Amino acid sequence: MKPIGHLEVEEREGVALVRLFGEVDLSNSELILERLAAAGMGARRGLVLDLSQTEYLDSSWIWLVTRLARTLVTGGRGFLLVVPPQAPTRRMLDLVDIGHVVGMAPSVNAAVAALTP
Amino acid sequence: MSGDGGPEVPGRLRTLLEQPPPASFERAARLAAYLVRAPVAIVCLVDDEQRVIKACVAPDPRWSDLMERPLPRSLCGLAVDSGAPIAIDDAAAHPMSREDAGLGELGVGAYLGAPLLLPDGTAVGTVAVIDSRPRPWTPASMAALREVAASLAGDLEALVGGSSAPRPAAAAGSRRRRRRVNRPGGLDALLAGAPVPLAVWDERLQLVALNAAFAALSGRTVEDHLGRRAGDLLPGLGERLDDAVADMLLSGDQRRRLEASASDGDAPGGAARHWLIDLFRADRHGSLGGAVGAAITEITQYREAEGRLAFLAEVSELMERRLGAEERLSLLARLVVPGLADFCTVELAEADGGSRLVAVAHEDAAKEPLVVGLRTGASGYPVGAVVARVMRTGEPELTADLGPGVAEGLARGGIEAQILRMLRPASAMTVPLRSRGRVLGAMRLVRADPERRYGPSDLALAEELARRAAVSVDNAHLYEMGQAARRAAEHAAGSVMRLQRVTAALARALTPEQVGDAVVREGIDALGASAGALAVRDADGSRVLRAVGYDAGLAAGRSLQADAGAPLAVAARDGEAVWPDPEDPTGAAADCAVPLLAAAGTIGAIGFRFSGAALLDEGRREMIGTLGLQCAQALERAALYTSTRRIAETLQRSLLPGALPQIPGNDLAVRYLAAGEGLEAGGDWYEAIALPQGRIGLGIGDVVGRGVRAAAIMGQLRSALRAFAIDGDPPATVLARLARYAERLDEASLATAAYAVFDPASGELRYGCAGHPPPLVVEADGRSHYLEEGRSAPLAAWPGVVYRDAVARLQPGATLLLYTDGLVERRRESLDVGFARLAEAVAGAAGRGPEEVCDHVVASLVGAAPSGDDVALLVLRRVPWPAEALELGAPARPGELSALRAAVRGWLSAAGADAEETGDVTLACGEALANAAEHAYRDAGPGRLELRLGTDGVDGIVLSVRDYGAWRQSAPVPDRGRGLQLMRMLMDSVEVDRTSDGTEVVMRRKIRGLAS
Repeated sequence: MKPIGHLEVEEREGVALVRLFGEVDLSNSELILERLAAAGMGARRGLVLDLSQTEYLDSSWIWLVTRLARTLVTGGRGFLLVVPPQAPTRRMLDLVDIGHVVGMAPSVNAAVAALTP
Repeated sequence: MSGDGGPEVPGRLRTLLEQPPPASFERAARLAAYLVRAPVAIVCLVDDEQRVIKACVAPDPRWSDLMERPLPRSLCGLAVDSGAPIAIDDAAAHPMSREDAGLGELGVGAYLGAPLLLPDGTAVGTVAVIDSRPRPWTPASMAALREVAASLAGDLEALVGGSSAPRPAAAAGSRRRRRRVNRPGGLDALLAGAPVPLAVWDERLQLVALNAAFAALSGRTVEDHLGRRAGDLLPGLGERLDDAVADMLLSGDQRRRLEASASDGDAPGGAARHWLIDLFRADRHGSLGGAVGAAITEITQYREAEGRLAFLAEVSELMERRLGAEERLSLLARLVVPGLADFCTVELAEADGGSRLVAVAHEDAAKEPLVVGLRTGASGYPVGAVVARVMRTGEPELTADLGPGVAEGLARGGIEAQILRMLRPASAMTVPLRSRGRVLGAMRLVRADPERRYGPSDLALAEELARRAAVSVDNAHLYEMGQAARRAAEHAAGSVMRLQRVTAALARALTPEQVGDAVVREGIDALGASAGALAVRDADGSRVLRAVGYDAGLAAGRSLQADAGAPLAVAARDGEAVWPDPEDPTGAAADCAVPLLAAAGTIGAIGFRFSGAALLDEGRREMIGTLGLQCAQALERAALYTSTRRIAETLQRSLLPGALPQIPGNDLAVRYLAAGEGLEAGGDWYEAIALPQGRIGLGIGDVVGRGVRAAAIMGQLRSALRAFAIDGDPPATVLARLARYAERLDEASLATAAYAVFDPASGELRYGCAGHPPPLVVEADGRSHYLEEGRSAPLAAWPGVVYRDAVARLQPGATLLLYTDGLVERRRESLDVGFARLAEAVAGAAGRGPEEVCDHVVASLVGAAPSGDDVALLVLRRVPWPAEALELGAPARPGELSALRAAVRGWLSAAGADAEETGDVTLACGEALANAAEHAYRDAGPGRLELRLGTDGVDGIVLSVRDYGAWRQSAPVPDRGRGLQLMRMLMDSVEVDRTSDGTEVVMRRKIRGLAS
């Protein structure tokens, strides 16, 4: 069966840039979280998670991601979410007030720039 | 001015420069500032080297410090050198202003200066206004300033001892009589002697002179008025005068004439009064008062006379539109109430010398029976006597005060007294209806208001009205008599009448077949024949078009080749009439035939059979000959008509759209029905256009008129609409463009159109009707309403029409009908009846698709009674809510969730939910499904999940997610609880029902597309 969601990881100046495509729900949340954590831990400066093209997010998963974010920040790395206003998951993230928990950046470039000196 | 220009000028100027500034300078500056509404105004004298400010008006005292000192010539020098006003809107940008250090620091933003020109053309200085900020100077400001400068120049000329002697006005100015206007000599005498109200205002709009006649307007003394505004003492007229004077001061005009109207007194019902106002400058030749005089003539009576003439013309014209005499009189009675009377009766003279009441009107229709009672009652109240006298003598009677008669009637008591108490007649006029020397009847007008008793001018109007009414009634009588006489004559001549019936039938016939029917059937009837037939020539000889009463050998459609000897065949072939020999003893039946002769030759023949040759007398032969001529003409006309109609129909069909755009999820159907046989193709059209963003444009229209011309205009309008609409502009814009286009069509023709833009995603319908019948919306349950907003005049009805549109919403399953008036109009029937019938017909097709709605509407409205007009019908249905609720069951496994969410998303989208609503409900559903899948069967392995999504029957959806496991409160993942929180934020209500055998989550949410 075709996976409902997948990640693309890119490294930019010590920052892991992760683009999440498709959907994340109970069926793939653990797998996606593991890969995300691996990408974040492997990067020198931190992790940028781009949700521009994510179609669906399970709310429980997003809270798991914030826990990962706290871990990364505590370890001296950065974590930023990129969610443009028209992104499909934007409304859900606004409703759970994600901006108060993790850092948000308006674009991938801005996020990468913010994590690099 | 140059140094050696006018040898005397320097000397004269020096006098001025050495003197303290005369009051004229200061007044000129003040007036200039006031008129131009500038903060700073200065009056300067300028020579070749320098400029001296002689007067200034300015809020900043530093301006005054500059007075009487030599300053650079600057901008004022420019005005003096050119001899013309200088207007500088933005002084900072002007090089000259930068040189002028003295003024620069005072902040000169804009400068307007006019030269002071002496009569010999020498410029000696300027009057200038200055604003601290840049500003565009208007021509009116320039004119005002030039006027001030000219006025001051007149004073100057006197001061410096010009060629003419100093005027008293200038002397007055120099004596600083500031509060007084400088009156031209003899003004007081003129004022006193003037027979009309006359007054003079100064530039502050205060009255400085007036005569007794003016003072009498307000009833106060002349002194009361001085120094005040006219509007303070004389509301209405006085305010108009103040406005007019202010306008005049600013304009620079020397004279003006205008009309003013005001209601007399404060009461809203006060009669309007009208005045002619002549304004003139009272400050000519040098005085600087800025004074304006006004002479006032009351013209109320002339205006009233004009109003009466207009009323008479209107009444006469309206009466002419009615056919019968009594109809005209009852209209008359209604028109005079309540303007000319509170109630009115009209009666006509009878042959026996009495009279008959034919019209009654009272302002309050419920009181009309009382009026009748008063007139016809057997009481002694003397109305009848007055009416009888007026009819006998033909002289009008005016009773200004009915008081005594009414008092007597009241005293007599009984019903009459009751009626009088309720009608309260106060004043009456009875006027004869006289035409061509005869008194036809009388009209009685009564007023109940004692304050508005009738006077001579009312009587004059009533008499004229009655005279016109009488002529109109006479005309109607003549017409009625004419009709009756004609009918009688027709009865007298039976055969002629029968022939006329054939003629009439032929006139109605528009196709060759109808001509055949008319001539054969009606002809047999009229002639007393036993059989009749019509044959037309074609390529192969002749063919029978219609035959009645013959045996099978002579039937319609049959060729006459085999019967070459038959009279019908002979007449058609040879163009000769065939008559039987009346003496022939062999034939029991006699056949005859006459050829049909047209311009092109013989086109056929008609034949009749009589049971005996003797019946075919001379009179009948003549009639048959006449029939032949008429029939030939009718056939020619029918041939022409048929080809014209074919052209028009072909044109029309080719001009209408071939295919309708496909709109997913929305159904569209159209019908175009040409009028029933016998009429030409009309100018009805429709159009459906796919617009950007998935919207659709729907247009329909009707060009008044029929035939090729109407069809051609229709085609042009339709393609123009397409071009104007294609970018998705709103209906108001599209209709306005279409109207402008229609105005430019060579052959102006009245056309109506409706245009609507429908957005299937939201259900929004923006529509506008330019003189077109309102669109009809039918809800899924059959309720219907017409969209009666967004209305404007027909296309190109007159210039400057503002085209409007309005917004409505189509609920899922609702149907929109655009149609042309042929669908609702029937002769001799109110349009409302047609609208109601359409709504009823459509309600009968509620819930069905557009094609079925079209069929149903056409069958029930057009099929039953052909309207005689074309019909175009455009039906759109918004996709209904999915009829079925979504019901899904799946194993409670994480891998099933994505497919369930997709099904939910699809259902919502099809149901008309917008993107946000679809996203929200899908997310809430996903959270509920995840909860169930994650927790419900934690211990027992996957069980079943059930999901149901449907409407709540009103304006929202109900979503339920059910599992059959134990949904444990103490979920091991703490963040799970947030899923429920999120559901509550996304939905209007969330109910969680946990029982021992499972959990059901029921969520509701309104969907905007459904809200009414």
